[in-house]
Amino acid sequence: MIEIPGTQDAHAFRRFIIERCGEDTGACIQCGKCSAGCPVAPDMDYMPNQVMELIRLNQRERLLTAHSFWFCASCQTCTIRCPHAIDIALVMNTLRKLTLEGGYAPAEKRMPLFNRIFLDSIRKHGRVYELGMVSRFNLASGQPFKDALLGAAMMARRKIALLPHRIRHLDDIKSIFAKYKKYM
Amino acid sequence: MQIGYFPGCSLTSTAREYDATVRQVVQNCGFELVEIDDWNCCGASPADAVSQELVLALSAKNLAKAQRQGLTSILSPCPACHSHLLQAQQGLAETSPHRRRILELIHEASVPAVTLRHLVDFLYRDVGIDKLKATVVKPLTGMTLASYYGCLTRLKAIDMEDRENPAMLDEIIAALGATAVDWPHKTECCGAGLAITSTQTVLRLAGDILAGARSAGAQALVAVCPLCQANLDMRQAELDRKRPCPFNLPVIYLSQLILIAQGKSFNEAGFDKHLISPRSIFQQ
Ligand code: SF4
Ligand code: SF4
Repeated sequence: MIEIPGTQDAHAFRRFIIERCGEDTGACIQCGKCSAGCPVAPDMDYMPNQVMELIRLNQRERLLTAHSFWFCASCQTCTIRCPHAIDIALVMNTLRKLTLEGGYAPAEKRMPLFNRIFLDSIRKHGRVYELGMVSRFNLASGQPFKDALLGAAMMARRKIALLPHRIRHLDDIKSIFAKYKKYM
Repeated sequence: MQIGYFPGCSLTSTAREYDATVRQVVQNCGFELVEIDDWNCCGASPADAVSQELVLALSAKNLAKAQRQGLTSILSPCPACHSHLLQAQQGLAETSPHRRRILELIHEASVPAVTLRHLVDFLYRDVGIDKLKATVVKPLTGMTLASYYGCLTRLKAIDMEDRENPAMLDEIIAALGATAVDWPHKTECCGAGLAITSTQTVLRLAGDILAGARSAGAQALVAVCPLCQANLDMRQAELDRKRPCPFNLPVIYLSQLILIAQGKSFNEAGFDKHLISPRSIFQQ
């Protein structure tokens, strides 16, 4: 677990974000363009421009326990449009990482669960085994029959591979993943 | 001419018809596709959410595999895979702070830069509109289609002239003899990344995009991303339950469309995999 600064001095969290991803949210002019175009803004408790401001205001706890960035679809719309060239999508992704690294309980359980199961599939096969991954996710999230009709329609059309494909040089992938075990 | 091929996981499963038709289209345009041997998953957004270096290393590994086969360019029809290859290549640049760590993770001394293409810019730049036009034997005259770029094709990678209103795909559609409608949702995100974790979000986003295409008068959408296609095609049944009349908007892969224009029959384009069949459009 890492120590995330924020309480020591009034600008610690903003500086830490700069250090982690190179983006200075202090450059934000609160024009709101990022949030206006964000496809998931209606699902967020803090919209992208609010996230920028909360970082500036050193609100580490409030942010790392927020739902906001878990909904970010990484579509890059905000980043493309920001008049001050802030890579907002990168900041959102950084907040996801900091939540897990800092040992915070993520406000959204489903996204980190999905990520873990997805990566597990790659670690085991070298490629994603969609059917296995989705079934595992549905079981683990307590909704075994989610999208069952859709699944049936896909299978009837042989639209989804029934068996995993394992790559030959799986060791290479396992050795890369071994370095990141603590986050998964 | 030879070009390397990185299909990515979706194209071996839910987007098999994309894979099969891309292979044929590339061949019909005079190129030979050479698949990267034993390629691995790019890690998609979950790897990115864990570590930037993890996601860079996974794609760098694929670049190293391509190098061993002597490939100097790589086509990836999935915009997510494509953008990861691009980021990995940037991460491997001499000036990048990530270079050393990535090379360490993949046990390589160096990985040379190659040309990276998505299907859209491959057709636009490597094949060219005129040469593509020359392969058309059955122009799609009278067809009105919505060019759907999705969100990820806007990355600098594809180098669109106007990222809010790109034209490359529209020009390709026009070269096939069809009409590309003007519409505002060309690059709106469909939320596919949240398809499994937040269904209500993707229903809202897919619904907006489909409604946009419908009101622009399109008969179908043309997709260039395996996640967009699956999401927009498969979510219609659920959306229709709350609508007075069904969307009934087929979501066709660009490669399927080209193949039909190049003279293949409806049955040869893999439409049996789609939930909303475009049969009626092609029979008019
Ligand atoms: S678009 Fe950029 S400057 Fe405007 S509110 Fe968002 S982050 Fe701030
Ligand atoms: S990248 Fe995330 S925060 Fe930015 S517009 Fe897209 S969904 Fe919203």
